[in-house]
Amino acid sequence: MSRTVTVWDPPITAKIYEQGEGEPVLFLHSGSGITPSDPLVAALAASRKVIAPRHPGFVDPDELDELRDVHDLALYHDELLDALELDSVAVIGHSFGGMVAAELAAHVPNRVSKLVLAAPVGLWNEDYPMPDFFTAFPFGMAELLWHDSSSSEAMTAMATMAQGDDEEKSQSDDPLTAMMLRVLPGLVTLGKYIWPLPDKGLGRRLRRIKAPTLLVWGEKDKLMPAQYADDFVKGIPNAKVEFIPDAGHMAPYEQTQDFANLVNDFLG
Amino acid sequence: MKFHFFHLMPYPYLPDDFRQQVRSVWVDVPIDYYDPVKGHEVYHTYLDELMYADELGFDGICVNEHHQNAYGLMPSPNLMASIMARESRNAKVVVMGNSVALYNPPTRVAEEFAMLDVLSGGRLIAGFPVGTPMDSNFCYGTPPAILREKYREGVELIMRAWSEREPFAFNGKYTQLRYVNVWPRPIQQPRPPVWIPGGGSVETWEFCIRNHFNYSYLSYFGYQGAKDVMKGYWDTVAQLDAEPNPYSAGFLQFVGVAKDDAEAEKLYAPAALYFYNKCLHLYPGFVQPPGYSSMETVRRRIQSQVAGASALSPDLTWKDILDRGYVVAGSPETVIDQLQEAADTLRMGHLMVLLHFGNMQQETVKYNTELFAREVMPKLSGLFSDWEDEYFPAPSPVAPR
Repeated sequence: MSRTVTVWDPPITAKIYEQGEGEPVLFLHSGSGITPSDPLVAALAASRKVIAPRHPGFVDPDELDELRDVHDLALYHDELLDALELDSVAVIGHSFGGMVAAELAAHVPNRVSKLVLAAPVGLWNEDYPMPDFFTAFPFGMAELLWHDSSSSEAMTAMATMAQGDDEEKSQSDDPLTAMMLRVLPGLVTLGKYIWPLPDKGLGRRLRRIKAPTLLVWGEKDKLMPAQYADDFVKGIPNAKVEFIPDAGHMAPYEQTQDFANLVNDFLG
Repeated sequence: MKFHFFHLMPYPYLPDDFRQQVRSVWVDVPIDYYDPVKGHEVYHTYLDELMYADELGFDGICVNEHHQNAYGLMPSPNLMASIMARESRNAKVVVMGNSVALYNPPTRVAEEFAMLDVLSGGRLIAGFPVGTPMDSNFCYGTPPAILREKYREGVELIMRAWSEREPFAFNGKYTQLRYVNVWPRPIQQPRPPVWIPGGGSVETWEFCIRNHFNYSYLSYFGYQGAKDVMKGYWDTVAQLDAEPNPYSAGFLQFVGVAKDDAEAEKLYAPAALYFYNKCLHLYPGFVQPPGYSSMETVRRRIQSQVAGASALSPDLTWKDILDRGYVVAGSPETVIDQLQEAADTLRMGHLMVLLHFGNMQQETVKYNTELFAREVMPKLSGLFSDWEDEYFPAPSPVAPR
């Protein structure tokens, strides 16, 4: 099920996917986007109500013109919580969505009750630098994202993401062009906020996060090496980490049930 | 038609196994391949070639800006242009140009170009490229998503800095300045001619036409492959109801003039192969970062890529290079015929020629330049003579020194 809410000025209309019953949790997706049949949202929705907004820019990068930096992005999400009538809520963020979730929790600490960060970006450590994701576009990306990009989980997730949202018309008749055009706006968006290095000051702000925080990392993450978990745990006052073996940057999609179990244990 | 001698200033000592040893000629090319002592000689040789073109009567001599690039040794073209401004006599000094978004604040460009215009006695042509992804996004760290907007704002600031007579404050999205008051000012008023070197992006065409800037398509792949892009430009001119002045357009072409085809191959094939097979050995991951092109441009480009064969296959031969028209080479008659055809189809009033390319020896460069100036230029200079060139400096108001 999906609906839209409109926030910001000039107005940005965000598509909100919702699934499940019970306590609400806000899910902020990765650079790979979100679709109505997202398998991770479905797994999380077994025990709670998942509210998953699509990031601005992910269909039309022009929406980002007046979301100039990560501060604007955090405030945009603050307004989004108003529009969703969520005073304070648990937030799960994956990869780019993890960075946004951490920024939200650092900017408006009282609005995030609990925080789950799955392989968030947003820090830079010279000892284990994040590889240049953007030079891997388009054909080298799967290799960086997945522990095993030929696994059935990876194939299913990639096919779902490539398919997009049926409600939106394809911008091209050619299948390859259509897929590129679907994937590209999300990457443009990532580029706006994490180019050329992803450290936009989050490291200085992590101390502001009040929410008890769970970090989840695929042990074989080739994009954001699992050592980054240490940097997040050091920076966030109340944080712990769980590693998922045999999983890469897309751990929540590679070991979806394991990830959902960790989330359920943590959120209760 | 006017003729401009363009120099890329490639490093000419890349080894035979460069392609095998290195992933890219640009951005992360290992510095071990550069010898600054040889580099000294290279710079002065190239400056001599530009001065030779001035002596032979070329309308302009051109340099451009690249960063961390083994085929373009000019991170600062203005340093070269300042020498050209002083040493040359007649040719216009065409800086193609300064990548505006990379200068902080962009008034730096307004200042340095004003210096060059004053130094040269009003002979500057000011180029404002958006900048390639390699230079702007990967070497200089500007996010692709903001590059074009930052560039446009910078150009607007420079135009105002040249034209306003009082200090003003500039409250931009990317630049804030309390006092903009550029000293010195250019000799050419209200501004030097502005040329925009661009690829085939829809936005750039409109930008040029609306601002009365020359649009120059700097392709390394010859006039035959440029028809679609230039047609796009002229279609946009028509759509916007602008004057179809040929001098509003420029084009870059590799040229090798010789006695005959056999001599052309002997003289120019090695240098062309050096350029196409080594200098354009570029890591594909640097070419099209997400956000560098608008969605509209990407849509067109992907479709054309899918439809057509890939432009650059490795290990081109001289025959490939000639057949595809990357280099126009042969006797003066052959070159004249092909450039005439190029002018007929592309309708560019300004032709920039690369008469040095790759690792061409100076003796050969001079031979090529001289034949072009003596045999080719006079036969084509009458083209478009019924149009006024509003995109070119007026005669210099200063007496020769």
